[in-house]
Amino acid sequence: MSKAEKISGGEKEHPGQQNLRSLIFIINGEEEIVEKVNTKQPLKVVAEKALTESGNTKSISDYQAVYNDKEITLDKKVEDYDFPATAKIFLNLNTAGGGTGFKAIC
Amino acid sequence: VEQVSRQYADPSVSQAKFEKELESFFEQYYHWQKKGVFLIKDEFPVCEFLFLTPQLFPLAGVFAVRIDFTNYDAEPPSVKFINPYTGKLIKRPEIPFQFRQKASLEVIALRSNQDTSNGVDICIAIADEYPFICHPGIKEYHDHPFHTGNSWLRLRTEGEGRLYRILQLLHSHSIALVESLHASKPRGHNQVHLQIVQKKPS
Repeated sequence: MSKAEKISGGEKEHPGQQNLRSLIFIINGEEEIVEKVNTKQPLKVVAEKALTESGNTKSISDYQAVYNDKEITLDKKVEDYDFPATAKIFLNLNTAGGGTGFKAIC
Repeated sequence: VEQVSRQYADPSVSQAKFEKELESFFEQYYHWQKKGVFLIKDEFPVCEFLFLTPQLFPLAGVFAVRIDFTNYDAEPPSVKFINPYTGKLIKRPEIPFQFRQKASLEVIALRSNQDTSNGVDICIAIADEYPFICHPGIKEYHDHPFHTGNSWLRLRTEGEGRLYRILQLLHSHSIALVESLHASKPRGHNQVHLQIVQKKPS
């Protein structure tokens, strides 16, 4: 059973925690689950936490967030997306240069 | 399969890291399956992938790569294009489309005499015509004399060179940009020519 499936059953909600949930990020191909996410927060805050907890040292600005094969903005609040419990948000590194090797062969 | 270089790093370390990369791949197997990316061989230090275009009908096999983790991660993985039927390396003209990337300011300046508005092809062939992906995190890029200032050791903990990243790069620069298959029959020819039409990278 994947980590995503484990949490898909959902945790029991406690009074005062209605705005809390888990979110799954895929960073460099590995799952990172951030627990107790306040859905009123911008997604960027949660993504930064996912990066820190997974030991990735690059800044959030070096990544693009992709959900359902579409790039999404990290500026919106978590609740704005209405992610299902098993949603996976991919944080993919932005293109980091390249395409310059032709010069040495000219 | 001939390895790209001799193993000088502790093979047990490279193998453990290779297996970890494959484990991550299998955890995201359905993600890659939907995108048309299939593992066709995995035998340390090499794994091979086939890239299809799920958005085209009839399904078209587009290309295959051999990713070699020899000395990983003292060195980044090598990425070579292969014929999936024979396993032999193929040359640039045998890959029917571009690996387009939005041109950076550096590239625009370097290619000032070229139109870079539709992106630049980062699948580059040198004198022997065997292509490589010109992007950090790939052995052939770091071995290239023009990139000595961008050391792999500086990048290897940052996600570049990971299997996921390499597959994502290969997919997003090629398959993800494929829009349609254009068929034409030039006058005087009996054969229909098929051409993959790609959109501009965003």
